[in-house]
Amino acid sequence: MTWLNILSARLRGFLRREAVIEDIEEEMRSHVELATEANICRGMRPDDARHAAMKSFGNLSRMSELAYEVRGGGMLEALWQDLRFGVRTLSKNPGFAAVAILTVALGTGATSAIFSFVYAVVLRPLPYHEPERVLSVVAHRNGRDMGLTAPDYLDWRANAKSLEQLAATAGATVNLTGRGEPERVVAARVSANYFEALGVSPAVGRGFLWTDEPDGAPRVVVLGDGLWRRRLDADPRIVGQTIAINGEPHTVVGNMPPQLSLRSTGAQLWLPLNLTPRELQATGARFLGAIGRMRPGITPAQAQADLAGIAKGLEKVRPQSNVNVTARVRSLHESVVAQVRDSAFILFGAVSFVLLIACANVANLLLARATRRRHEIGVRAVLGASRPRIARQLLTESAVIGLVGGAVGLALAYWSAGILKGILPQDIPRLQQTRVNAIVFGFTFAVSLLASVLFGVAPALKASRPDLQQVLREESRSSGSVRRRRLSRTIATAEIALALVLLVAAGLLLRSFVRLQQVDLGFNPANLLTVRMALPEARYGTAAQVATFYQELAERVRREPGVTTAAVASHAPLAGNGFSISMSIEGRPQPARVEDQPMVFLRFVSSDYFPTLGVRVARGRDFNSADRPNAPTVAIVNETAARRYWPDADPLRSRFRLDDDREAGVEVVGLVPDVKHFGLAQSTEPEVFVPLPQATLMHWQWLQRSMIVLARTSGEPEAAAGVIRHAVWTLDDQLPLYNLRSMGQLRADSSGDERIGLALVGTFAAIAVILAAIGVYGVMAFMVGERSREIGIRLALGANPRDVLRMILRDGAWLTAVGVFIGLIGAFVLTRMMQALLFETPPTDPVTFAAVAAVIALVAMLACFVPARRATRVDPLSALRSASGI
Amino acid sequence: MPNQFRRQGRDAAVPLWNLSEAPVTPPKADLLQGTLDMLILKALSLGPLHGYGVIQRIRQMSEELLSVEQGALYPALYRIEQKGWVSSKWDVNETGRKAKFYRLTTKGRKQLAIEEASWDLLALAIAKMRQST
Repeated sequence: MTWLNILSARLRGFLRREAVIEDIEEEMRSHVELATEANICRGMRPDDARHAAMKSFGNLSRMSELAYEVRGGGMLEALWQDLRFGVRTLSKNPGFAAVAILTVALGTGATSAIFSFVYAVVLRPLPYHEPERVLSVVAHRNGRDMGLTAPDYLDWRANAKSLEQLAATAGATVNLTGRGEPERVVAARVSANYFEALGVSPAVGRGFLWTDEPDGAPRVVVLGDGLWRRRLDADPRIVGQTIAINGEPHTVVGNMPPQLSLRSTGAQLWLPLNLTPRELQATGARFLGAIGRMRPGITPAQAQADLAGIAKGLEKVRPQSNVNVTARVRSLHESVVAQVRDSAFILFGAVSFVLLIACANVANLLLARATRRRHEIGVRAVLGASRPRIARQLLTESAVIGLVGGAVGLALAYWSAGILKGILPQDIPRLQQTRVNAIVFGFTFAVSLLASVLFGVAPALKASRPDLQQVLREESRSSGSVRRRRLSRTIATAEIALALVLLVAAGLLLRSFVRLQQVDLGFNPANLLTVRMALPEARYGTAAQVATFYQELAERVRREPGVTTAAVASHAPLAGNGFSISMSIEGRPQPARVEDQPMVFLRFVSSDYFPTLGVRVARGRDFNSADRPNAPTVAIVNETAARRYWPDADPLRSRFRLDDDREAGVEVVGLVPDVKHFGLAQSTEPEVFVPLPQATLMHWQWLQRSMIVLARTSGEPEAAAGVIRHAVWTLDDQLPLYNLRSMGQLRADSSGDERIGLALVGTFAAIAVILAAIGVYGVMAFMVGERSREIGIRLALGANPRDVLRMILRDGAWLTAVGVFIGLIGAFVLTRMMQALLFETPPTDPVTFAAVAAVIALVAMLACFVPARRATRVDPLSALRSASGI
Repeated sequence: MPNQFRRQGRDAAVPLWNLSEAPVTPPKADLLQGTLDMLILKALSLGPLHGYGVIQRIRQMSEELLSVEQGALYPALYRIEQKGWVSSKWDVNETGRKAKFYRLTTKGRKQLAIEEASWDLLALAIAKMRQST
């Protein structure tokens, strides 16, 4: 621990400098006194004694100084001196300081803001107990992840030796009534061990118990933090009270802490899983998600092998549903971040390019400044300052710029992290936890220091090696300045290259976005309003009741003023949902493998659905009022289904059966063109449309009795919201309406992620291009300044100003060309990583590359043009007269 | 004098290179310094002393053969103190004069034993070398 003593003594010497100096001097004086006393004892006269003592002691101040070397602050003190000196020199040059600091602030601020997002969303461990033990467990067949069936879940849970817990969840949406307007909220049914498996304890009350599950048990609910705050006013005595869910009272037994909700669009309350007898027998319904908690000491690979072994065994037990079904586990963290990791890292890459360019700009500023300070630095060197000492001083100055810039950047990051939280897609898990915390603070500090080194080292090394003779001769042109000019040019070239890469990335995203907007939706989205609703089972028990209600509702909405046509459907285009079901076509053999079984997305629609969307039935007929419950069961298929499942035959009048409770086969009566149901970028899946009156009770249970009302309006669709609400509430005033969206909004939402990505990368690219242009301008202006005497001589000797202009521009053009060339190569290599983000746009799209190269070249040449023009106006006389030429 | 000292430290016109570049340690510093450390520890092993007293005692103990310069003594004392081998305290001497007294710590006593042992070994080795020629 000796070094610790020494360090603390050094720190004391640094912090209490005066006291330490005082102490040393006091001791020296006391030494002289003691020596004098001894001399007097030996018989000398007091004056002589004192004189002799001082003489033998030697140079007192030198002695004190030597002693201070040991006790003083040492390196700390030198650093402090440098810092003070650096701050003083910078404050003498506020213009330079402001530009440098703001440039650094822009770079570090943007980088830190994106880092705060990356950290919160990707890097941070999940906020659970021992999160590394929590797994996401899915079933897997032929490269596709699937949910678990209820029988699979129970078998896996019973047999998994590697897992402490295997919990299941099933999605649900419920109607909340009482305490304000009726509301539809996202919920989840979870097994009793769910919270334990995740490793989250309730904030208040308890989680679920196995005894909550059976049908006769008292109905209980666990609330999420968000719902509790929003709808229940954060009532601290909520546990034990009852709330109405789907019209039935449930006792609140617990309240979960905020971190359980990873997404703001996720479940807001939890109900016991309580698998129904039908679910327990459904070997084909893969509707369960699963969360596993590994036993201590088990690796994910062991858990994977364990579950895969169990799944293998089940292939023989339930061959019809489980052949080739295996298990796939990965850490929950991985499955949570998988969706955003790539985009987050690309954003981070883009922003670090901005930081690099900012650093390059500051480095150029410092180089130019060092040239102006050549004399001062030279004098120091002449007076004996060593090169490391001067370099250290210059680096300390860079560090001052870097750290002050970093501090301003931190404020910028704090501000922009708030904006990011608002504009990024809200379904990104943990987005709302983006904030500037200690980690981000530390990151900013480290980045500022790193940036200081980046932009400080080369100028410091160059500047600290002045040519002393030339300095003393006050000579300005030196070989050093040629070297320095070369360094400046290299930096400017690098800036052009970096800006080009970023602009290519932005250009690709733009092109991809434009392509996305040009996608053929398959229907007319103008003036179309959609709103979702659901009927409670308690009052709408039978299929007939539900169907009657919705048909009557569609009829009423159609008659409302401002509405031209209206329909109801289980799923609207672009909303990106639906469920698929297996289909067997009559007259064809059952496929040998389960995965070859045709699968279709099932949609239930009222008779005016296709006219309301503006979709024409291509062949066959549309649904009509004759398609009643007891009439022959019919269906309409889309083109993708026809192509995939009737490749060589006519689907019309073909019959098939769906995996539902209907005994009779379904006849295909019509064929409709493809409509984008899942989003702009998603491909269309095979779809089967069923007339709403022919939906069975089982179908309504699948749909949770929920439908979307679509209304084509004559005016602004949003204005029709009131009349739809009126129509619904005339029929039943206890029904919540939610997800009110115009098709225009849905369409914008559907490319929302792409829009935000484009906006962010575009902003970074714009900053990069501006910074690079400033950088090129700075370098060219500086070179023109340095060469002004040469230019003056040329002009004096009769050179045409146009030749001078051409000379400077040629210089700039060469620099630009090299930068563009390197940038193109860099972009060619790097944009491959963006592949997943691009829609129908190759990552090396030649049009984008060419356009961006042209833009960058133009901008760079413009930045060269201003200094070049100035060069032609150099006054030969004054240029010749002034020695320095600057 | 204090003013002069401070001016050198902080407010000089060209303030960059004084402290760290001053020639502090003479060549062969390790050997000399280690030896000096041992002499100081040995002097203090007989009882607490102020700096002047340390010089005097080293001279007496070595029968006037060794004399330590003040310029070397104080840096060495401070260094030893930072290592925790001695502790210091302002006090008055027998004639009532204020002085800073140094006292050997337990750690310093152990260190002295170690250094003496290694010196003895070195002396023995050198003696043997010389006898063998």
